[in-house]
Amino acid sequence: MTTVNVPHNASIALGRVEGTLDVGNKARLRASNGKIIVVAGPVRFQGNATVECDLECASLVVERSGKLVVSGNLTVHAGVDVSNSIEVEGEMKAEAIDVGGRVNARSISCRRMRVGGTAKVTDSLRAELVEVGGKIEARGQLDVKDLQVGGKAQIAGGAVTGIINVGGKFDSSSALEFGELQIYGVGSLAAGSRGRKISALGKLRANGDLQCDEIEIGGIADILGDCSAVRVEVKGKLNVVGSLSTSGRLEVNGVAQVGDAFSGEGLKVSGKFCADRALVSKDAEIYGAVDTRKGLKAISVLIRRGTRCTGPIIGETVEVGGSGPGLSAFMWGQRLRVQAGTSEVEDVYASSLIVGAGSRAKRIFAETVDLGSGCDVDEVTYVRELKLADHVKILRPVKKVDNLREPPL
Amino acid sequence: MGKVKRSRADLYATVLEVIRRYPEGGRITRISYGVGVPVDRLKTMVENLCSFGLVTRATEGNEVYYGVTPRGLEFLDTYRKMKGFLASFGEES
Repeated sequence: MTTVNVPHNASIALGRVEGTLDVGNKARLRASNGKIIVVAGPVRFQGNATVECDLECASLVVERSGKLVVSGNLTVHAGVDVSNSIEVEGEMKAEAIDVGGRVNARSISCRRMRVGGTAKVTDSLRAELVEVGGKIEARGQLDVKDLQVGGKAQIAGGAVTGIINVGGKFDSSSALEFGELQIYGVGSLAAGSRGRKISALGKLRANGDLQCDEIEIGGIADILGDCSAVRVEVKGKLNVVGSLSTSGRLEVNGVAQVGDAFSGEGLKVSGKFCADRALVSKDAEIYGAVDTRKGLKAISVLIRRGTRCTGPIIGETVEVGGSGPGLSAFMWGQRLRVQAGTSEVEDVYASSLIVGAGSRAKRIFAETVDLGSGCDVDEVTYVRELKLADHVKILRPVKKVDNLREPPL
Repeated sequence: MGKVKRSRADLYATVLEVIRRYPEGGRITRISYGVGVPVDRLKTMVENLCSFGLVTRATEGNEVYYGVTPRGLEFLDTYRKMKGFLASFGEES
């Protein structure tokens, strides 16, 4: 196989090279046909070099601290190995790309890309695996399986079907379809993004509607639209501007604020929950505070001792202030409020209602009512049974009726 | 606005992050391009990381290759978690 040598500082025109091409430092290559240089074998650049046309070769190596600039397209049938940096003004196609420092291209298509420092792609990025030690900036559509970034990822949209793992900041500026999004720092998703799982240790912000099966937030999550999920777990603060629907459970060990309605299979709050209305198809368990404008409805509602509720509570079975704060409240360092009789609710609609000792309620509408000692209630309307312990205070005369009034939800 | 100066922990984390991209072992020049730090400064940092047990050094012929130890990965994980907490407290991450 022949080797064509291009000396240092040379400026040369090439056509087709049947063997190997060895290019000296600071050389400039151009195509003799004005379009493309084709090298059947490998190309080795010994340092900085400029290719003023398209380049196609079997494999490509840039040695030392060299920077390779290709003003056209670069097609490499096997691997690209660049110690320092490479800049391709057109499309870069290769089987595998390995760059120590920086890669900059209009678009990239490869099976695997590994970049030590920074990757910047202005148009599309297609790859199975992209690994970047520092920062990636991809402003076009993505079609990637797995994306691993040590520092910062700024991407447009598209699809990352596998795992996105980002050590620092993550930002997508248009709708993204993803498998699993793992963010250690701060994450921002564009409106209309969809995925299988999000786990964020720090902050997550969705700039519009978000659809994701599982959402686990260690810190703060702000969703500036509607959110639908299977399961949501927030250890810090969740703020949904629109509605939140979960086909499974919403678990909050902090603060959850939903601007519109919450609907889900289960609700567990150790902290504070606010929503316009909450419709829970199974059980709701709350320690801390609940604030709903139109009410909270569940099959079973457990309001632990020390909890304040504003807005109506509706359930088949409702227990107010009968049980302590629960283990999770201790686990997550909530303030201990175990004094008896500090639970407060407004109107309660239930089939069966138990009000723990010392609790306070406004109006009660229930088939059976059990009021613990020292309870303070404004009004009781019941159908079948009323149990009263000692020192219960009821402000207005108790009403026994055949049918209860319709609950608001 | 100028770039925020990276703390020692930030730099160590970046070095570890770049080295872990090379499971077959990374060479000092290549790591320096990745981290964006000159080789002479990087050498001191990598030597420190080796002495802390966060990085391993292996020699093959004349070449020295560096890899991340399990303790190094643990540092990286803890560092990222701490950054995550700081981010949720509203601190600069």
